[in-house]
Amino acid sequence: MSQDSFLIVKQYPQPPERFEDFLRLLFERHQLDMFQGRQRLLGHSLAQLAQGARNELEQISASLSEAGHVHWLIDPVPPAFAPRRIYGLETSSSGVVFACRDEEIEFAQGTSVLAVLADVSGGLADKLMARILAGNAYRGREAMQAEGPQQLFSMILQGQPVLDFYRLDENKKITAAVRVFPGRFNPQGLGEAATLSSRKNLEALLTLMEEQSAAFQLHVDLGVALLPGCQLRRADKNDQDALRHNLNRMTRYGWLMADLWRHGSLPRRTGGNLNQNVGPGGLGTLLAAPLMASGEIDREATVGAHPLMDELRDDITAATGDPDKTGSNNRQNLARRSTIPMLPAPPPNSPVAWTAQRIWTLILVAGGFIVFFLLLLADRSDLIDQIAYHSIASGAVPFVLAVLSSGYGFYHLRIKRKIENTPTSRIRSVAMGMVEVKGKALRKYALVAPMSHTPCVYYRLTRYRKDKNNRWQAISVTSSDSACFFLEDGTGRIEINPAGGRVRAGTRQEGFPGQVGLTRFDSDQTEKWQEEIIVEGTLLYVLGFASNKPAEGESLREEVQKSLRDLKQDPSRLKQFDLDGDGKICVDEWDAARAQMEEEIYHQRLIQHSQQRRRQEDHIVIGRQPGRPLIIAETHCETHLTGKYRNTAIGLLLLSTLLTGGSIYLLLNYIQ
Amino acid sequence: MTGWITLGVLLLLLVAVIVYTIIIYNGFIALKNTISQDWSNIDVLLKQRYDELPKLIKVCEGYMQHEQRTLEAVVKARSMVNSARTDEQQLQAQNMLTDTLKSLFMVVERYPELKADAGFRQLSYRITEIEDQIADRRELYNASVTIYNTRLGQFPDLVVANMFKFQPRTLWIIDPEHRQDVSVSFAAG
Repeated sequence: MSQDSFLIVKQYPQPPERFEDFLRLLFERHQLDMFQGRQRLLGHSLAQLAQGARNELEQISASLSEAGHVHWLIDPVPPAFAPRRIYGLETSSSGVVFACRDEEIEFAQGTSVLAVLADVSGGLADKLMARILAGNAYRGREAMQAEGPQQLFSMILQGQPVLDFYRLDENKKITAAVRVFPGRFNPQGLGEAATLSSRKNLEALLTLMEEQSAAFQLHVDLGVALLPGCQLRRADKNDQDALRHNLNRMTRYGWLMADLWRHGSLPRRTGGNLNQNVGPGGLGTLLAAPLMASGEIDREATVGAHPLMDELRDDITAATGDPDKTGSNNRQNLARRSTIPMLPAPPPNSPVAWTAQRIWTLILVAGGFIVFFLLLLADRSDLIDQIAYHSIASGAVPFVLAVLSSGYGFYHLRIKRKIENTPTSRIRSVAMGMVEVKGKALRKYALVAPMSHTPCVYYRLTRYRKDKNNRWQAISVTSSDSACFFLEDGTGRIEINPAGGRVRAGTRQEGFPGQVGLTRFDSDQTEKWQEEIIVEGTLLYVLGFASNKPAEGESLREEVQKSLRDLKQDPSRLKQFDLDGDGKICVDEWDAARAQMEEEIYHQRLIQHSQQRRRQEDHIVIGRQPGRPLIIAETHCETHLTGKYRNTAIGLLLLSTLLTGGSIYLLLNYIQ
Repeated sequence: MTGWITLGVLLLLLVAVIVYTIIIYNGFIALKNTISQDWSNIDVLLKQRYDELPKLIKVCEGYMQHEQRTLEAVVKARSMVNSARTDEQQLQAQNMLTDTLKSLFMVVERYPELKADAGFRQLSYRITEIEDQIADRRELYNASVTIYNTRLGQFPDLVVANMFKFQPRTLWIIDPEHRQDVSVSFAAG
């Protein structure tokens, strides 16, 4: 039985144009599942697209070549041996000799060397994911891009790093391999480069091997690449089985990389829409490392404070075949990353606003409780029973509920009509007063949902606790009312203040205290959280009152007054305006001075602001005005929103009718 | 007893109809006021444009010694806006002002120094921005009028509208001259 061949592809960071057509073509010609094709072709690493008989894969390879897609069709060589652990090394002019347990393995100068650096704890993917999520949460989605090689290298070293060196002959076949456990070998062979730091020794060893070799490749994406037989398990330090498993996978990976090197990439990406290089977005990070999957280090580029990292970066350049473009892209990404401004921290939750409605509700509720307790204290529980009986039996309570229900129903009806009657404004031309705007929600502050840690523009967290009857009871509600956000349509951006508004969030999930991520149901828990969020970037409908924000800086009038005050203090300048030379400034002369000051200041302002535009978000805010509604809803269309209000109104009015009928019935019985 | 209950429910329905009529009536009043407000909001921008013009002309004067006629046309159109008494006159004057401003910006192309002037750039940007906002607000006005007119013809609003004699409003209509096709000639010189 012949062994299967592998078709390995280099993934696209972002879907190129006509990507769907390409997937459809793969499906029609080769019956490759479109979903799987998308999963394998998109990413920042290497992935196995297909496995099977070579003649079948050759047909797929032809289609990939047609599209200019970098890929490898290989007949993998099964690992013949595992790398031998080293305990020390010696360097000489002829090469490097590694001392293993019972033999010495020489890497002669001028040989080809393939290096694999990996975190055998299997935690690299988790760390990358955590970094992406944290970057996304606190810096915005623009920051979701490739981690630099330096960060990746550091992350591996922070885990349980292991370094393998493979010696290759002229046909790129593995002839020997050694395994280095940092801190567990005698570094004296490194000479002056030897230090007490295991990390620095590892770097020195990498530099030494790179210098000694004629061709050198370093691969660091084990654990993130979708390659056959190369998936790592999550392993603790004491989990020997998992560690052994991961070390075996590392060996498998090393042999596979040697196969790729031996075969060389089939076609390079050749122009057109499919010629995409490093780009932002997605699971950004699994990224920079895989780009090192082919190519050799440019020795001349080893400059800078951290030579190894410069080499890694240049390796990326070599790997993607377009040195100028990719190198500059990567540098731009790194530079851009450092210049993306951090969003400010959200303001603390403001105290509850004491509106008239809230005060009246509080007075009524407090009054009711006081009466109730006074009666209890006076030992008049019989009176309480009587009041309760008569208020229900006479139909008073159902009647009050009917009135409240109908009032609330009509309120919903009014809101529905208000929404329908208000035309949508463009943000750039929003006028003061009640306005309706639609657009994409953007964060003003680094607001993150408390449970899911999702970057959002608004959240509401309701905490529930189980009562005596094992039923969930809401115990508190917190929201990000005090954190304003931006709304952006095609014409501009405006600030929205959600305080006091009716917010209909589109995303809702439940979880338990301290839980982060997906919902988990556990009957043993006594408290649960329900989180409603408006995720950044979603389309929002806002109906509210637009008003000017308090002005910042001095007005024109204030500036003129200040200039005039300064003028009064400066006799030499004042003399310029004394046109009749009498030593005094008369009213006309003073008016002339004022006019000149105004003109000067206005001109200065024109020059100062010539490059600036007075942006809507800087001076207008949409919020709640007493007696007017503020509605913020995550909805795809207005009709959908008004439909909800209509249904609620109908339901409440029907309930009101029933309650009225019931209260009349009770009243008639009570009278009889 | 059933009769009493029926009477009570009917009374409730009557109250509901009255309340709903009030809501519709108030909605019409609010819409009418919204339309008036939208119209006035256009005027606010027109006034802003009117106020910006002297500054623009002052900046232009320094560079455009040979384009006095164009500048005078802008000044004249501006004064017509000021002296217009009726809505129709006002509309004509505003349209004329828009046209003369367009001519001015076209002529500016011949004066690179003026185009490079920071003050001119700021003012021209500001005026263009106001023009865009005016267009947006005219659309908003038309949207408000459309909602109002649609409500007038829909049931049950139709009943309330007839009862209280609400009249339809007219949409803002473009100057017929501006509907004509633009003639473009690529012939040399």
